[in-house]
Parts: sequence; C-alpha cells; structure tokens
Amino acid sequence: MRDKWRNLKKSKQQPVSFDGRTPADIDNYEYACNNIVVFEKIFSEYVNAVTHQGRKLKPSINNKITKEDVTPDLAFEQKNGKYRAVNEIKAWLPNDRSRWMEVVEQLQSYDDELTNWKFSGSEKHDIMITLDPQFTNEFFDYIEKLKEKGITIDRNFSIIESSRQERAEPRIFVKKDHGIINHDKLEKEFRRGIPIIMYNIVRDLDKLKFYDANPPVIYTMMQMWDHVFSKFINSREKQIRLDTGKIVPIDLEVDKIYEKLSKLTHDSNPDCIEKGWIRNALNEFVGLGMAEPSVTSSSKFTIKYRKHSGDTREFLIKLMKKKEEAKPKPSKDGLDQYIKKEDSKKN
Amino acid sequence: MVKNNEYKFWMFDHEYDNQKNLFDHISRLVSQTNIKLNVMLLSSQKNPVDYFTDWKPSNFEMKINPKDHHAITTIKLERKGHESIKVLLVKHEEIPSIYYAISDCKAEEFKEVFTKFVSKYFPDISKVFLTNNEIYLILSKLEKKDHKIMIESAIGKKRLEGKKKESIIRYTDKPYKEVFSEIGQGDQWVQSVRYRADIGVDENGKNISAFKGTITRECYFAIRSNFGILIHEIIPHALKLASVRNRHLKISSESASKSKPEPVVIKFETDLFVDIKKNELYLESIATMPSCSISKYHNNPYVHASLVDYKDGSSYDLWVLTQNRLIIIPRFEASMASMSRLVNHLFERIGEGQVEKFEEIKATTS
Repeated sequence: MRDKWRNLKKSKQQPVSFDGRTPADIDNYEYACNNIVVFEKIFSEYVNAVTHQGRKLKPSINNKITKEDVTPDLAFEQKNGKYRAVNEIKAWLPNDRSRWMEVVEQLQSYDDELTNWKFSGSEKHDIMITLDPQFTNEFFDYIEKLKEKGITIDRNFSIIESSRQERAEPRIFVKKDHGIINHDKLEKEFRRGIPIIMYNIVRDLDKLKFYDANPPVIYTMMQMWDHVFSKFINSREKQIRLDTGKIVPIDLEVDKIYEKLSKLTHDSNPDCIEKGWIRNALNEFVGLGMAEPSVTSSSKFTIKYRKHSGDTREFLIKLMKKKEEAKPKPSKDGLDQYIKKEDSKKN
Repeated sequence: MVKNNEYKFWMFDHEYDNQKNLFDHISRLVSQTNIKLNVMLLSSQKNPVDYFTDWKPSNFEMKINPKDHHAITTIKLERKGHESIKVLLVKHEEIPSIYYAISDCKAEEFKEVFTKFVSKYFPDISKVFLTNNEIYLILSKLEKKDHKIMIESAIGKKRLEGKKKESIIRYTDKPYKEVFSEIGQGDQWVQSVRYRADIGVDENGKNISAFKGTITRECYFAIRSNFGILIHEIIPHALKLASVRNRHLKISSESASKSKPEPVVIKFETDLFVDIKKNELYLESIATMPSCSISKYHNNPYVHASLVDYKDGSSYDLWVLTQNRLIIIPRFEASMASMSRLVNHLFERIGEGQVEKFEEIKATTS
C-alpha cells in the first residue's frame, strides 16, 4: 500500500504542461532521479551512510498524520545507527499554495519514531526536503507561518536547494538554505554548498532512470522505444525489414518489459516500477496504432515497431496530435443545445 | 610483361593452404600484370563463410569453392544487374576476428556487389573504420620508406551545422601533408584518398612512381603494382591504429548487459561544446546517422540523449558533460559493430577525437 502522498508525487511530474509531454516534464522527473544519485554520493562519501530509495518505514502509534507505512524518496543511515535522515525531493511545488499543506503533512508524517530501518540505532533522524532554489525561501516562509497555527516539524529539519550549474563541467549544486542538520560535518558542508561534477557520476546518473514516482508516460514510452523494443528483434530477416523501413511486429509481455526497466532503478529499490506505468505506456502505443493488445491476455501486446529518423519524443507527439485532431469535435449546434439544456436546468 | 587476361581466375586457382604462400603468389602476379586489386578488411567473430552459408540475402547468389581451405576461401558472387565477381576471403593469421576480402574485379562492382552483400550481415560482419589522422599516419609511414607520397585525388565531406554536409572532391597533385592540412583547416572528414608513391624522377623530369593506391575510411584499399607493401606495411599499420579504439569499444560492448556498463569516452581535439547554444545542432548532426533515431532528454547546459541503432537493435545513452568529451554508454545490448559505426559517425559529423576509457576528472573552474 503506497502512502497518500504518492498522488502528490505523481501529480508533481506534470506541472509544466497540460499533457505532461514537454521536455520540462521529463526534466522534472530527471531532476529527482539525478538528485537521488547526488545525495547517495554525498552521504556515502561524507558520512559513510547507506542510501535507500523508497524504503517503507513504519510509523509509531503517535504519528500525527498516518498509520500507514511512509516512503520518503531517500533514507540514509550509518551502519552503526549513529546518524539517520530522510529526504523528500521535489522539483516542483504546486502553484496552488493550499496544496503545499500536503507537502508539509508528508514531512510531518516523517516527524516520528519511524521503524524498519536496516540497521539498529536509537538516534533521531533528520528530515530534509530538497527543492529547486526558486521554492526554498517561499517554502521556508510557509512553514514559519504554519508555526503560528501550531503546525510544526519538531525534529531537525532542513530545506536544501539543488540546482544544475553551468560550468566547463556542469555540476549539480546542493546547499542548505534553512534549518539544521544534526551532524557536524554534514551541517558544515551543506551550509557551504556541495558541487558534484556530473561527469564523475555519469554511470550512476545513466543507470537511474526510474524511481518510485510515476514518470510522464511519454518518458516511459521513449525508454521502451529505445532500450527495450529494439532488443526483441530476434532474426536477421526481421532486422533487415526494420532497417529497410518496414513494420516489424514484436510480441511482448508486460513482465518482459518490467524485467528490463527494473534494471534502470536504484539498487535498493529494484521493484519500484509499477506494471501499471508500463501498461499505460503500452496503451498509449495502442492508441497511436503502434501496438495491439492480445485478445487472450491483458498483459500481452504486439508492438508494431518501425524505424523513424530524428527525435523519438517529437515523433510520438506528432502521432498523438494527429490522433487528437482526428477525434470528432462537438458541432456548434451540439454546443448550443448543451448550453440551452444547462440553462434550462438552472431555471 | 604477362597480360592479366591470360590469367582469367588466376588469383583463385591457387593450391596454397597458408596465407604467406598465397600472398607471395598474389604479389608476384600483381607485379607481373600491373593489375589493380581491391582489398577490404572485415571484422567477424566467425568465418564470414559460415554466415554466408547459413543465410543468403535476396537478389544475391553465392557459391563457394568446395575444395578451399577454411581459412582461405574463394566465393563467387552474383547480384542481379551486375557482373559476377570472385572474392578471396583470407583469415588474418594474428588477429582472428579480421578477414581480408580480395578481388580483381572493377572497383565499382566490388562496391555494388561485394560491399552490399556483406552489409546484409551486419553486425556479424562489419567494416573497420579509419580516421583522418590514421589515414595520414599510414601515408606518413609510406613516406618513411623512401617514397614521396602525392595525393592525386581526395574525397571529403565538410561538417556543416545540423543535418547539412557538403561533399568536396579534390583533383590535385600535391604532397599528402599539404592536402591533409587543407582538409583539417576546412573542418572536413576524409572519405577516400587516391595516392601515388614516387621514388624519383626520370631523365625527362617525370615522376617515377613505385605504386599507386586508394585508401578509404572504411578500410577499403585498392593497389596497383605492389601488393606486398599493402599486405606487409599499410594494412598492419591500419589495424594497429584502429586496434586501440576497438579495444575500448569491445570492453564497452561486452559490458552492455551489466547494471553499470563501461562507458566509452570520445575526447575531441578541441573544446567543441563550449557554446551550449550549439548543443541542439550537434544532436541534429548525431541523428543523421543512417538507421537510427534519438531521444533528447536534455540539451542545456549539458547533453543527454539516447540513441537506437535500427540496424541491429543496439542502444545507447549519450552524454556531454565537459567541453571536449562525449560519453557513450551502451544499454542492455550493443554490438561492437554498431558502436564502431556510431563512433565513426560522431567522428565524421561532430569531430575527430581519441576513444578513451572513462576516468573521473577534476574541475577546471571553481
């Protein structure tokens, strides 16, 4: 059972466009993936802590928010149990401020004697939230105001900014903007700011393409198109057909795709991908006429794989728009009748 | 001098079962007849003949001389609308994955019949690629053998922004250094050069040439008069130059199924990625590789894209995270042939560089 903030996690991935198909939508997802890698590196190097992505932690009976397991994006713990922290990563906060309370509640749900850590220890864990720099001060002000209403986060809590820096070697720069980290070394380093050269962590960045939040469906489709479907062409004839621009049918089961994509997750959470994400992506392909569901099994599909040139996202979006344009639109007469009907209801 | 038409099938009627004796025999015949030979290097883990007998592409007919030794095989190849040709396939004695394909047919027929035929067997059989610099180094090695190397013609292509390119054919009679300097200044890649090796001048002041030949980027060689120098000097040098790159590609290709595959790094000679506004154009150039598509994830301030090679299903992630390096990370499966094809394309369309092992770097700016 996933915690109630999964919906917020999911919805945050589609902030920039209505349909979640823009490069910015994909970028938001990558922001979280990249930060998982960055924080793992920092916590491993600076305090020799182990990182868990999406670990289910159990609340105590005193938890103010939930009785169900909570799954912070990241949980860190030293093997000797002397230091622990959880970190929630958000590339984006909703424009609607009232929804920020959902984020605060999520953080409050971590403000508890959580159990089910991997290593035993009695130290209280720190709580962190990592945000794009544009949100850190506003979110701090929001939290401060809540204190007046008696809504607080009582454990050591810090707001970290994370941004990509344009340099000769691009970096991800993380810095503590507000709050306290209950570890001298981490407090000092985060206060100063930690630049991580992306080049040096590229193998980890490259591996982590999914975490336990629903990616934009087009992102999943792109990953499947490039890295999965192409691996199921199993004869020279089919390969030549594909190369010469013909459609090559590929029979695939959701499980086979799941098996491949699961390798593109954090080592601590290889099962984070939901088969529903894969089904959604496959159904999109079906809608575009690029796949057919099996009549015998809901988990089997035939992909009509074919070569295209250029950019896959643009190629898919073009097909999506074509499909949308082909949908019958309500006629003007129909709209007039609808308005009349609504008016008569009111009257 | 013996006329070559007296030697119909002369190259293929030998009874030699070892490479040295066969090549000595061919050398003698070539010097006697002054015939031009086509030689192409193929990379293949199994004997290409095994692939040819397992499966045949449509529009081609292929017969094998049943009496042949396995390491030395003659194939007769027919393609609709073309003359039939004979090709001698000889396994390299020291590098087991390299095969020589040798034929006395016309260069055009070799290209249209044999090259097209073997391309159907990608990635099991693939070509070996050379860079501008490597072709230059081969010619400079010939110069050290007391030859004056002159370029009679050169075919190159100019790198233009995005999808555009421009073919440039030079008919010249200039020393190779001068021609390559012009090519380098013009930001071009060499497709092929036709060279002449002079050994002096006669009493009338005319150049006396020892041999003539052609070298292409795809390790196709044509040679007249001196087969020995091709086999003993040019090809070993070409293979040596390509081997460093191929070693890195092999390691990376073999690691594709691992959780964190070994990246291949191309370090370019200049800081190509200083201007991040050009990243989009570089991605467009990359996407011009035949039979591929890319997915762009990020292009400012760094580049992240994935690429699928429809020729064999290999796929990669590409990253630009410094001003002079491009990282290729294979994903799940990637053949060495595909990696080599991709690297060659990047050399052609982006710029030439060194293929290196991935190693962490230090920041150059604060």
